[in-house]
Formats: sequence, structure tokens, C-alpha cells
Amino acid sequence: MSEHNLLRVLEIGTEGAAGYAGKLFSRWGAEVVRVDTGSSLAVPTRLARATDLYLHAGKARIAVNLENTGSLEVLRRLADHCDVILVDGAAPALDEIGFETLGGARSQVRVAITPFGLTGPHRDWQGASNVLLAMGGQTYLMGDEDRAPLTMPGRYLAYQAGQFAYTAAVACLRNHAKADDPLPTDNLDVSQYEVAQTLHQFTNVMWTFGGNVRSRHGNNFGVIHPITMYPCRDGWFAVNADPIFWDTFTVMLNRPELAADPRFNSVAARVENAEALDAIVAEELGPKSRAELMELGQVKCRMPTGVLSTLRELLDDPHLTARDFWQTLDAGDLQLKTPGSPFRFVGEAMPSPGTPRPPVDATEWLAATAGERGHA
Amino acid sequence: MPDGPLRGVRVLDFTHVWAGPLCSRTLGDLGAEVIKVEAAWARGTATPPAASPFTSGASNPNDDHWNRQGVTNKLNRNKLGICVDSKRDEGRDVLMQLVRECDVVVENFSARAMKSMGLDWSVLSAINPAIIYVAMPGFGHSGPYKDYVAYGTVVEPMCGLTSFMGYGPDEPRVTATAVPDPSAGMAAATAIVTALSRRDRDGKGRYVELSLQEAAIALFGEYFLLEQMGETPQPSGNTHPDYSPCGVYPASGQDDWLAISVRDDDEWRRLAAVLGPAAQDDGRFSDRDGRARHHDVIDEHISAWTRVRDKASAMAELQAVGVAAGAVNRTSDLLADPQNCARDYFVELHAPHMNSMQYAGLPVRINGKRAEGWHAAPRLGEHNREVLTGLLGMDDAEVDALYDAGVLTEHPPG
Repeated sequence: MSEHNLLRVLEIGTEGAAGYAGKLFSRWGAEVVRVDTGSSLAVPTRLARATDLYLHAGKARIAVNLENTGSLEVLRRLADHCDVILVDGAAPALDEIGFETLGGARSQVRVAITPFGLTGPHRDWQGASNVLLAMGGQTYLMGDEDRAPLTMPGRYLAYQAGQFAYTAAVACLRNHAKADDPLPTDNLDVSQYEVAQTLHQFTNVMWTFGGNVRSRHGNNFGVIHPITMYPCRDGWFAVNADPIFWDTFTVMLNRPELAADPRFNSVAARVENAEALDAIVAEELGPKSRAELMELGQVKCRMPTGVLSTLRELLDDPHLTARDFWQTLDAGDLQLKTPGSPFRFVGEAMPSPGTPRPPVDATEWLAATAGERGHA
Repeated sequence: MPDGPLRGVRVLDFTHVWAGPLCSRTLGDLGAEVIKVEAAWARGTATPPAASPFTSGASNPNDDHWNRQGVTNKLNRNKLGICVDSKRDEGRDVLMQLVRECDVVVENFSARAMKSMGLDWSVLSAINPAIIYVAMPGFGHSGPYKDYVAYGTVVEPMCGLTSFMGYGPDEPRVTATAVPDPSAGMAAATAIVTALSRRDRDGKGRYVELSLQEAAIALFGEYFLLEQMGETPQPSGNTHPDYSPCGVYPASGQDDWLAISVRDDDEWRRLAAVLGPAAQDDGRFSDRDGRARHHDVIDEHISAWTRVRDKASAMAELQAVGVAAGAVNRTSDLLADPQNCARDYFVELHAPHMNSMQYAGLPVRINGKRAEGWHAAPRLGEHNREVLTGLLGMDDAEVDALYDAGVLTEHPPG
């Protein structure tokens, strides 16, 4: 039996945050009903199609054009049949669909994932991934110090917001399931701007504790060196030579005498003399291939070492293959490898990613659902 | 104790560095009772450290500096702290007894570590069949890389993201935030609530395993599908494959920047109206494809506008007309940010051993509330006695004996 197989989730939104949370619910057994509104139905590019397949395979889909008269009533009726309401978008868009009352008292959990939250002076502001990463202090850390800061491609913040939303929503649902009497609806307000700030490792405490502002240093971590990525014969490799691994790194370099070299024998000295150290690394390790560096670093020296892998290489990677990480997504005209669950229950089969489903008419869905679970 | 929906869940927390503590802190923020287990050396030695950008906040640099580290205090709020020597039989016995009383054990050691301590799944599940055991090594517990030494920084280039992030195809860049760590930390939190939910139904414990690598891949999954659809994404600076214009533009201040994203034609018309006739009237920019083809020209128009404005006022001006624009903030900009202040996002915590400090909060408000009953991170071993007497029913003499034997301590070595 799966975890959420008595649960129905209504998902609305185009940002990817509700989509990722819905994907988690769907993978672990809930019936997720995704509402494709006018804008989310458009699939204009290949990346948009890839994103749609990745996030929404396995979900039931209902097309609702919000510009049509009566569409809000349809949304309300759909919501009345669901235990969890999961919505993303800017706060004004949530206001337009009457988010705060969707599902009425029947819903157990109502989740809003917005750029800036449902309250505060910026609640109505527009957010996009690069904008929220910038405002949340992440972008200032990425890129070269003498060039424009870099944003992170993809929907990292949105999906992380989805993970926060799912965690909090399932925590709430457990209490509803255990209660003898129905509990009031739990309202969850997830801000992607806050997610960006929560996911700093030490940037905030560098400021609050030490008065230091962290900035960007290309591929260098900045405060410890070398934690960085270097070019090599067929690409790039990364090392994490923090103080614990400095001596090991000198062995990997085949230059053990550097451990005691006054230019490099402390964290501060290595940061100060990073250029000289990088030149040695380029000379000793630069001519090697990525495979040779992984063998030397990880197998022979037990040094934290990684290599820059392409997407194609990862799709064929022997480790991920041995772990059965990739699953098959049947997209009709395409059979695609798709990432499996980021976690697994050992000894149990990983749930399927599901198959893409065509949208059904809302009226048909409502008719088929009428009478279920006391929602007639 | 923190209030929240996970009240009643007890977590034994063996995590360290970042990914694991982020997971357990999130559970604590949501109301779980988290008991952090530390070794005596976990916070370094008793010798005062050299100046560090991470550690300060001290009123007296010679006193208990190990309890006043920024990262330790940031990641361990809302936890109880015990300091036990797990290599001693008596210490291991204490931990085994605690496992009986807990719902969840979470650790992020290397694949070999818990087994070498005699605390792996097979042992713990025999003690408590209902335990949910979460292991999060860098590359998982199986496969040819399982014994690799992993930190988020070296795992990141092996997650795909780095192959399409950077200034150009020959200039890949890393995120500087070791993305696999927070990815795995939050994936572990999702795993734990899922496992708890399953256990509510069948009463059984679970062995949950995840790898930093797979957790990060999952957050960029669509790019792996895109690759198979015949399109290999490349590093392309701050542009976006579907949005145009999209970029980071110079503002008037030193190293000040503004991020802008235009997602559809309506947003472009609003931005163009602000930029002026040269942008507004140029027919080449009327649709997304045209704007993408002439991105460099548009970027010049935008930069000319942003360069003479400070980042905050430019952001406000564009947001006022519905354009997604945001200042590239430094961490020093965030504490006084009006949105953060209005939502009480930063949370002030204090304890006798700590100056009062502001910490980033949980990005979720439940029924309008956040941080109910939150407390500061514990001192090393602060709750040794409280946990062993309160939870395990030991008397003070038994606890004293464990202190005398060096199994329990509140001080690091050296």
C-alpha cells in the first residue's frame, strides 16, 4: 500500500513549485489532479515540454480556461473533492481564483507557494527564478568577481519550495489522519524569496556573526582554498581540499613537501597564495584525464574529487545505472530516461514515475467523482 | 519546545556539516523533538581558533568559543544536544537505548561509518522495528562510487547542472553554495514525512537511503529529458531559453546589479514602456523569438536605463508596473528588508552562552505562525543529563558515573 493512496490533491500553477510538490504526492500514491489553466496549457518550447513531462507524468489533468465565464465555479467544485489544495503563482493571481476559500472546510491542507508570501509590502510583486535568487542573496555569490554575477539555470528554488511545501503539508496531514474529530483546514504560506534565504550555508552567519559579506570568486569557494574546479585534459575536475584534506591533496599532487611549505601551510596562506598553488595544480594534474583524476583522487588517495559530467554521461553513468536510478518515462513518441525518486525505501521497488495523461473535461471528471468519499 | 505539526515525533540526529543538519533542523522547526548526538571533537578543540569569518558573536573569546560558532548555532536551533563517546561500549549502549525511544534516526556519514560504529540499519531495526532510519551518503550505499569521499562541492559537477551553468561553453561555473547539500537535506525531510505517513498505516519502520548526487539531479530533471529530446543545454550566462529578455544588469552603485526576467509579451510591453520609445517602438522586439534574436540590443537598452539608477529604486519602479525585477542583494541587505521585517522572517534567538542573534527562518508559515517556541542551539552536551534522566530513566548517580568515565562530556578535547 502506498502512503497517500486515500488522498486527493488539487494542483494549480505554472511556476514548478506546486508541480514539484504534486510530483512528490503523485509518486508516493496520492491522486493528483492538475488543473491546466490557459497559460499552463501552452507548451511552446522543447524545454517547456521536457518540464511538463518531468513534473506532470502520472497526474490526472483537467483543462480549465480561466478566462471563460464560470471557470472559477468549476475550480471551486474541483477543490471541493480534494484533501489538499496546492497552488503556486504570484499572490494577485491566487486572489483571482479565490485561493483562500478554495476547498472550503473540506480541505485538510491548503498550500500557497508564492514569490514573496501572502503578506507583506511585496506580496503582490512578480517573481521569476533569476529575480528571486538575486533578491535572496544567492546570485551575488555566483560568478566572477570582476564580471556580472551569474544566476542558476533551471527551477531550483521552485522545486526546493515544493520540497518545503510537501514536507509541511504531509506533516499536517498526519495530524488530520489521527484526529478523532475533523480539524480546521491548515493554511500553509510558502515564500520562494524566503526559501532562497533559508538555503544559504554560512553566508548569513558570516554577516551576523562576523560582519563579513560573502562575495563571488569564480569557481573558488572563497574562504578556503582549494575548494574549486580546475581544467584538465578532457574537461574539468573539482577538489575539496579543506584543512582536513590538505595533506591528502599534496599526496594527490605528488608534491607531499607542499604540506609544510610556508606558502601553503595554513588556510589563510593557501588563500593568500592561491595563484601559486593553482599553477602547481595545473602543472601536476592538468594533463590528466577526468577518469585518471577520479582514480587518483577517490580510489588511490581517498580525496574528495569530482568531475564535470555532461548530461549524456550521467544518463549512461555506471554508478547511477547500477543503482537503477533512471526510470523509463513513456511519452508516446519518446521513451525517455527520467530521474527516479531522490530517496528510496531500501528493499522496496521504486514507484513508477507514471505516464503522461491527456486532459479530461472537468464536467466528466466531476461526474465520475461524484459520490466518492462523502463528497457527493 | 517548538510548536508545529511534527510535535510528538522524536528524532535522533547523527548528522554533521550541512545536508544532514538542514534536514533535522527543518524537522525541529516543524515541531519534532530533535536530539543531536555529537562527539566531543565535533565542534573542534578547546584551543581558541584563529579569527574566522564563520565564528564570532562572542562576548568573551576565551570562554566556550566552541558553543558560539555561527554555523553550529544556525543549523542546530530547536534541538536538544547530547555529547556521547559512541566508541565506548557504555556510550554505544546509551545510544541504543535512545533508539528505542525515537521515531527517526538520521545520519549523513560516509557509507561505512555507521556500520563501523555498530549502529547500522540491521542493528537499529532489531532494537526498534518501528524506527525510520535515514542514511544520506554522497553517492548512496550501493554502486561503484559508494565509497567515494563526498562533499557537496565535488558532487555538484557530477549532477549535470555545471554542464549548463556559466558564462559560456568554455567557462562553466559552480554555484558556490554546494547545491547537492541543501537538495539532499530537503529531500531527506520529504523522505521522513513520507515514511512516517507510511508507518502510521502499517506500523513498520523503514530504511531510507538517498545520495547527494541523486537528490540534486532530481532538482534539474527536465534537462535530462531535454538532452534526450535532442537539445543539449549550454552555459549561456544569464539568458533564459524561454524568456527574453532575461539578465543581470548593472546598477549605479559599485558592484550593484539588477535581475530582470520578461516571461511574455505583456511583460515586455510594460518593460518597454519604462525603457522608452527606442525599445517600445522597435518592431523587432514584439514577440519572444524576435527579442531572443536581438537580445544584445535589448540588453543595451536595459543597461542604459539601469546604469543610472540604484538597484533598489530600479527594482521598485519595475515591480510597480508588474515586471519581475529584483536587486542582486548582498546578505547585508536582507535583515532590514521590509518584506522580511513585515513577515518576521529572521528570528532572534538567544541563550545564556550566546549573544542574541538573528537567524534565517523556516520559509513556511502555518496558519499565520512561524517560530512558535523556537529556541537557540544547545551548548555541546547541554542536555546530557536531561535526556538520560528524562528519557532513559537513569538517576543522577548513573549519569555522574558516565561523566566520570568520560562517556559524557560538555567540553571538547585539547
